[in-house]
Amino acid sequence: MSLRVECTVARAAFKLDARLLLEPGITWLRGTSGSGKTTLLRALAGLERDVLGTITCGPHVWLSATQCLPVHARRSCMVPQNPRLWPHHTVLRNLEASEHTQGILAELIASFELAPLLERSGDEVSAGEAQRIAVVRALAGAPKVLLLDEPFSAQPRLFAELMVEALKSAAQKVPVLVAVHHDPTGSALEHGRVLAIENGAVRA
Amino acid sequence: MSPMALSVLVGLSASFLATTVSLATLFVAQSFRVRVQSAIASIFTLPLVMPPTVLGYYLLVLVGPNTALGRLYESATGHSLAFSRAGVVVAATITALPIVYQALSTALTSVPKEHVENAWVLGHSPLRTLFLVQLPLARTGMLSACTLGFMRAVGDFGATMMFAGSLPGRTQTAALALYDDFLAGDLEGASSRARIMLLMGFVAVFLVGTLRRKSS
Repeated sequence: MSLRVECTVARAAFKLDARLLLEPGITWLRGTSGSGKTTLLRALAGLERDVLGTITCGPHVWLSATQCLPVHARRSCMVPQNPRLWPHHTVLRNLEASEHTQGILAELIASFELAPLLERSGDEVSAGEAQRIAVVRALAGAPKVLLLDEPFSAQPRLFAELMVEALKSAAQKVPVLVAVHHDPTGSALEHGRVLAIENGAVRA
Repeated sequence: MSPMALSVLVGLSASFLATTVSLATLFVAQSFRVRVQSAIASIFTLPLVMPPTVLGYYLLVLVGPNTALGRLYESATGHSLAFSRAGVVVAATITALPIVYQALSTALTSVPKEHVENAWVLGHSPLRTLFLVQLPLARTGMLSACTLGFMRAVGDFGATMMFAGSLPGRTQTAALALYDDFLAGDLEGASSRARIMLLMGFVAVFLVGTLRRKSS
């Protein structure tokens, strides 16, 4: 299943213009800051208002002139750059928060060393831990499209490499995976395509 | 039922109704454009800037004994809405709506947007998100909205007087009974009712203040 995108988002001082065919597998999105990486991911997830154009995911229409599928019905999952967990839930309940959590969660908790954090409340974790938890929970929800905004930005090298591995194996189950990453390391680049975005314009 | 007991009962019912109506409206309005949201907020705020007698007057015009809606209510329940206990609750609810709506709106918008968006991208519908994220995180604000609504409803005089009258034992709340005591020269009675309501008001304001400090 691939994601076909032809959409624009107009802001006062910025315009996103995306014409993309995102094939299954990992796509690394690169661009300078302010180039519209986050806006593109948010538009795909359905979180941006005033998105015009069409977005189709396989046979499903997400956006057209006549309809806009709400965020929760898209079966896509976006992880923002600095995710915050729900403070009124424990880390475990935050991890299980996806409507479609799969059995793989236990395995991911073990490999990302999250077990000692499970009983803490959602606001008692560091930024790096929150990012790891948010990525793990997104992977465990097995979305059709996974959108990650700088998923390694707060990770030490060990976890960043672990995450690349997890994304690679997830790419077999998650049809389309788009990750914003300033400088994909050699090992990350081997798996997937690189897509450049410049001044809001992106073509592929 | 004593006027004070009726006041408490009316306060609880009106606070519950105003909270439910406000919450349902805010939930539906959150997907609307900002301009529509402000229009709705203005309508809900209107009773705050109206003389209470005007509210009572319009209630009589809309659901009074000689109106289509009023007759419909009477044929369904056997008694008229105006000058009944249910009428007292309706008048108090309208009076409490502005303060409850505004407090709830503030409480819900103070929930960080990212927590709400998180629930959406994890596959939860907006209604489920309301119960999963927004209400739990806005609970102190909700509690102060209910408390303020309760006191506003207990304190209503004009709208209740116009729409439900001041029938002792039936529709006479403590605020109306105090006025009757005063007119009848029973200063002792008026003073004891006033003291109870002053105490209730102080407890309510203190509670709301504590809740605000806790949530900030």
